[in-house]
Amino acid sequence: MLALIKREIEDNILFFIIAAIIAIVFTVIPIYSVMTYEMEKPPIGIPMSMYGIFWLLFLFVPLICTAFGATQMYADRSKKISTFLATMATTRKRILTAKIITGLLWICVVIVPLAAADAILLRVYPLIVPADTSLLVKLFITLFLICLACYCLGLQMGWNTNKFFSILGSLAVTPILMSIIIVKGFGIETAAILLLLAIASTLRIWQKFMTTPL
Amino acid sequence: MSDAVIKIDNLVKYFDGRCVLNGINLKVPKGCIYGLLGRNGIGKTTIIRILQGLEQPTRGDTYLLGKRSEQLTAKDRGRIGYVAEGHHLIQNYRVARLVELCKSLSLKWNQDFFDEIIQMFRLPMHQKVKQLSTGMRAQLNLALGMAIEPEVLILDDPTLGLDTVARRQFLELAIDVIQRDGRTILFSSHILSDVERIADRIGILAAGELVVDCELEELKKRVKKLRIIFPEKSPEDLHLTEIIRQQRSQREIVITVANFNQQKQAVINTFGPQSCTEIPMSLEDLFIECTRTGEKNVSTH
Repeated sequence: MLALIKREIEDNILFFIIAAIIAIVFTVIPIYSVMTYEMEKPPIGIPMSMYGIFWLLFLFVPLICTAFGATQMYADRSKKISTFLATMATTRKRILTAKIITGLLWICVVIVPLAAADAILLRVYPLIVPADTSLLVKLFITLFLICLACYCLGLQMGWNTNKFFSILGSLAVTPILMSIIIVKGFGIETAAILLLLAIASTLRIWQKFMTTPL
Repeated sequence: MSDAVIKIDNLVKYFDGRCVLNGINLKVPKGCIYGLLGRNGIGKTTIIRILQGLEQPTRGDTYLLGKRSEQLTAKDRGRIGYVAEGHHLIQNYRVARLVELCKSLSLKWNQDFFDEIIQMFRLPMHQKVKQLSTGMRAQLNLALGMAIEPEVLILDDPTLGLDTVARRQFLELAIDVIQRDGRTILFSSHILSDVERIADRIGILAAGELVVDCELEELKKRVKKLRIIFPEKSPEDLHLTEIIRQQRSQREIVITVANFNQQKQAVINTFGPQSCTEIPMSLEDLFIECTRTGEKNVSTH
C-alpha cells in the first residue's frame, strides 16, 4: 500500500507543490496581518485580510481538489496505469484506496497548517481574532468536506476518458458546491450535505473502479 | 480443485451483443506450457484478461492457482507473472523507476536474474519506457514478469510487433527462462512457429470456441488430411463424422478429418476409392484448417 501511495504522490508531485505553496501563503498572510495589525492599531476585531483569505481558500482550494481528482483518474485511465498495477501483487481495492488516501493527504497538506496557525492566533491574540473555537472548527470542517466532495467528484469526472468533459465538469462542480455554503452557511446542515455528497461520490467511483474492465 | 493451475469453466463473453467466447472449457495442469492459438481478435486476450480479473465474464468461471479470478488476493497475484500484449507498462516512467515500482509491489524479486537480463539486452535504465523500441519493451516486460519468480507465467502475444531478430531474442530468453523451472505457462500467440517451439500442449480458438485442446504431437496424429480419388464421380456424402473441411471436384475429394481412426478409414474404403493418400500437414496447415472462417469447426479434444 505504501508503495502505491508513494507512486501516487510522485506522479502528482506538481499538485503537492501547489498544496505546499497554498499552505505556506495562506498561513503566513494571516499571521503577518494579525501581527502588523496589533502593532499599528488598538485591537478591535478581525483584520479584513483574514476574511479575504478564507473566501479565497473556499474559492480556489476546492477547484484545485476537483482538478487533482480528475487529473489523477484521467491519467490513470488514459495511460492504463491501473491495468498494469492490477496485474502485480496488489488488488483494485488497494489501488483505489491509495488514490483516495493521496487525495486526503493533499487536503491535509493544505488545511492542517492553516488550521493550526489559526488556532494558535486565536489563543495568542484573542482580541484581534475574536472568533470562537467552534466557528473555526465549523469553518475548517466545511472546508475539509467541500474539498473531499470535490476531490471525489473529480475522480469520477476523470474516469471519463473525454478530456473536454473532465475539464468542463471540474469547472462546473465547484461553483455548485460553493453555492451550498453561500445559501446554508457553515453549519451542521452544510456539513451533512457535503459529507453525503462525498460518501456518494466515493461509493460510485468505488463501484465503477471495482467492476469496470481495466 | 484438481491440480489444474489454470481452469476455465464454460466461459461465455459477449461484447455489445456479439458473442466472442462461447462456452470455453480449459485446464492447464501444473508445469505445462500451453500455447493458445487463434487469429487476431478471436478472443485470446479476452480469455487472459478474464483470467487476470481485468474483465468480467458474461457467464462461466475462471480459476488461477485454485482461486476464482475475481477473488485473487495480492498474495495470489504475486505468484503470477504477466507479459501483456503491446507491452504498455507505464509509458511516462523511466525504466529505473518502473523497476523500483515493480520491485516494491512484488512478493519476491530475483535481482541477479533481473540484472542478468538487463545486461544481456543492454536495457537503458535512465530512458523513459515510451522511448524504448517495441522489442526493448518486450524484453523489459518479460524481465519484470520473470524477476518475481512466478509460479504461473501468462504471456499474451508477447512477440506481437517485434521484428524477426527481436522475436528470436525474446523467444530464446523465454525458452531459457521456461527451462529453468517447471513453471506453468499460458502462451497466447498467432505466430505458430513460436508456439511450436515452446508449447507442449495447444489450444486453438476459432469462432468463439476452443476447437482444439490437446498435445501438439497428438494433434498432428489426430487430424488427417486425405486426398481420395474415385474411379468415377465422387460420392455426395462420405458419411464421416468430425469433418473439419472438405473440397470436392469431379473425381477427387480432399478432406480434413478430426480424430481419424481405423473405423473412419473403413467407412472411406466402402466407397471403393481408387486411391487414398495422406497429405502431410504442418502446424500452420492444421491451424488454417481449424480456423477457416465460414466453415464448421470440429472439436479435437
